[in-house]
Amino acid sequence: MLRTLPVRALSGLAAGACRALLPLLFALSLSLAFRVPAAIAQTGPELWSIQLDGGLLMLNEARGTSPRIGMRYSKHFTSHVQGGLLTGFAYKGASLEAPAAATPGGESHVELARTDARLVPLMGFMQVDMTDRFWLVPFVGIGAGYEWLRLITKDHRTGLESMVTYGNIAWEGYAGAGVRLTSRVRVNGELFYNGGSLEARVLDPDGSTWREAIHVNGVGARVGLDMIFE
Amino acid sequence: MLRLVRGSKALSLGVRLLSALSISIAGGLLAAACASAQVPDSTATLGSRAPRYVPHASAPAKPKAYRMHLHGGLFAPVDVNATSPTLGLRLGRRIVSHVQGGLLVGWTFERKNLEQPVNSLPGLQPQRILARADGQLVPAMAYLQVDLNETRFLVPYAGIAAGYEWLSLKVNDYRTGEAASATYTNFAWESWGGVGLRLGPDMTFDSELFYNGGSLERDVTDPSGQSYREAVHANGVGARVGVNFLF
Repeated sequence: MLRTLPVRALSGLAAGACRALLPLLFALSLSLAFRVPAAIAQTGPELWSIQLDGGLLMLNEARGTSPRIGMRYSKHFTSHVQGGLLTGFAYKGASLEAPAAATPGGESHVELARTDARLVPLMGFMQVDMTDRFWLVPFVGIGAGYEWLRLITKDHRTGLESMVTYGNIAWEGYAGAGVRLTSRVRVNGELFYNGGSLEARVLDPDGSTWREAIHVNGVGARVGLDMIFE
Repeated sequence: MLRLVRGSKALSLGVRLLSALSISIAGGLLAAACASAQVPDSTATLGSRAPRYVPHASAPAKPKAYRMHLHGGLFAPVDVNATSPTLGLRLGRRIVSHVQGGLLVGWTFERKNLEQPVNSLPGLQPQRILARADGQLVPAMAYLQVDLNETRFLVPYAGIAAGYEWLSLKVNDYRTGEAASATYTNFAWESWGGVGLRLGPDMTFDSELFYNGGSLERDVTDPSGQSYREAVHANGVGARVGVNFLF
């Protein structure tokens, strides 16, 4: 963490007065933020988008890729900016195997342990399309919200099974390009990054409670169909 | 690193001045924002068969005075190897052509865990958290920004801000149950430069590099009763992208 340096004592600081500024600024920001939708009100019919996508996610802390499907549902605030909710589902399975003793050549394996992980994000997002005129539409977006990971482990050697659900605030950033098929439909190809450290409280066999974390940072690629409707 | 040394009177005066300045600007912005919301929607009469997006030719001739810049990015303090996510907001008003001024706030978060693996099963590996340190940096500053043009597709710009900054540190050791927290504060400054892509008459998509400078401090009394002042250097560089609205 940040390094601290001792220096000679100075007089006291009116930190309370300074802290009072923060709520004031926050209130100001919120009040103006609520005015912005009025200020950038629709200049045409209300437009909404839904994107259905599929792709692969590669977590930094797990080998291999995981299939992933997702959906984004959003409102167009201007011709370039949209915001809404996104969700998805990614699956990662892994097993520990050993060659079956009776099989020559080792073509058959015995599963010793297995781990199944299911990742579900639910986030608010904002996306900026760089153009509303050309057939090729570069875009970037960012989402933040909550993410859940259910981890099911089975160790066939010991007979131990466990199912733990981890959750925490997480975020996602993505960038890509869309190819306009019609004025209302386009195919998007994008790279994305998922960031989060999902946590759960677990009980030890000795009765003590610990906090566990699973890091779900990773990159992925996905292709989606984006449809605009009123 | 330069460190400011001030007496208590100077500090209190500065804090009061900053408070008064912020309240004045906040009040002015709020009043003006309320007034601007009274402008009727000039496109309300458009039917559903109107073009998908109507050019802004029907907008009032008076240039829009207020700006809101929402951004996110990464911040890397010079003293530590910890790239941290950052979010921020700038609310400003056009002062003269190409020049705007206002207030900015932000939030930078960094978390470090001391962890150990739980088991040796394949796949995603849970980590037991033994100890944790969280740092949150919050600036609140007044700023000035110069846009080098107001009509072209690419809008280079640069800005500078000065104000106050808070750093909150919290540490938990789950093995021993100990917890500690500290808040460091001081005057700080920020500067940035970047390029905006004009998405429309009232909106740009901005990418910028920024520098944050400050030495945040707090008073500490050690067990022997002697008082010290501790400082955390919050100097660092970062990159962020954002959307800039005019309203």
